[in-house]
Amino acid sequence: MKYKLFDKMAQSTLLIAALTFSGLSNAHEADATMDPTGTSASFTGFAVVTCTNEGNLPTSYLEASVKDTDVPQDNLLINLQVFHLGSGINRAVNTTDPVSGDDQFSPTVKVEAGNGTYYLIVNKTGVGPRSFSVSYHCKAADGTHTATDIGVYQFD
Amino acid sequence: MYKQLATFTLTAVSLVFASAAFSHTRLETPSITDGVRVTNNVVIGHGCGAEGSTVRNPVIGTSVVFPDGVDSTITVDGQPYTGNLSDFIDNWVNIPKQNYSRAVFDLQDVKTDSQGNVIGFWAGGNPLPTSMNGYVPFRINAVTFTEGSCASSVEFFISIVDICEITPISGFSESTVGLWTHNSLGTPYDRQGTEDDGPASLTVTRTSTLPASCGAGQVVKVKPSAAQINRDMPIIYNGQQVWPQ
Repeated sequence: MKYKLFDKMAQSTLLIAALTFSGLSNAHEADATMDPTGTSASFTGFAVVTCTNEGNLPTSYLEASVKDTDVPQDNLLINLQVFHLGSGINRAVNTTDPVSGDDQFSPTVKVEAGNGTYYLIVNKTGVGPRSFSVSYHCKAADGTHTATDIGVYQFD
Repeated sequence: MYKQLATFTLTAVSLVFASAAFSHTRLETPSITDGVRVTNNVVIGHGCGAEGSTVRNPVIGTSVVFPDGVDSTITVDGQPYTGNLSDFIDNWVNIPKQNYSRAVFDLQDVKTDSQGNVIGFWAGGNPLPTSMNGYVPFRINAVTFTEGSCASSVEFFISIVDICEITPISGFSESTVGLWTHNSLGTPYDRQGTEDDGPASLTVTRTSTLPASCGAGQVVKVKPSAAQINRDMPIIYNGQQVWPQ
């Protein structure tokens, strides 16, 4: 029976699923490497984050920070911009991981615009590959985590 | 005893006389509102076989593709629209999220675009008894309308192929696949028929107030491109295409 083909896949699928790392699916941290070939100073990541209610609790703001997870390198830092457009709230804020490779996140920044879509841009100050992690969380006014989803528009 | 029961069941499903009221493969919740996550299911209602046939082959897998909104075909109030989906929906990216479940099929995985965004999913592994419904769970992340747009609703047509036997495209027939797809895209996965009634519908209705200049608002419909169906409908596992083959 040809459906046995699916059966044969089962065991290896479960093993691989346990080992595979997926940047997008990790809980509100996105991990990746910018400029893997080390040729693009203008390499940019661009994503949309959708914040909605958690139950009946609405989102008040999106907070985010970035961590350079690569080896230390002078004069090559990672920046993260968070911004919102519309509903009368057109606002942007930047944060930079000031020390590469120290396993510490940049200062956390936030934009307060309620439920809806926010945007993240991640970039760096020069040529060279940089691995990084972005932490992003929609939160209610009292700091409770609210529904947070992300999609990636650009990574090049 | 369980083994005997299983053997009997597998034999019985190939002989069972299914209900005359065969239903299309559809979403359990085909209509949602904006700004809300919704848990949903692809509901497989019957196996493969000719229309009106009383004997069906069990479904062993399903492949589901959402329009990606990149090169999709858009109509507004029934008229072709050459602009972008982002004129109406401002976050149509990575919207479906498959829910893990082995209730029906043992295996499952998402389909992604070049950026890793989910644009569909598949599940497979066990024959679904033809006398039963199969629910394949997923979540629709919150969809938001573009501020200032006049869209009152956006309907997405989701293409689904229920697989009853793994074959190459040349082996597609009513007994090997159930094509819940468009009938005129020009792909090997097109449903045969004169009516374009194959895909499952997902309508997102706007709850926020329309701009005053919009009047009653616009009805937007989104179909996938042929290029997307050809690219995303096959099931890829670990870099290898396992269906069709």
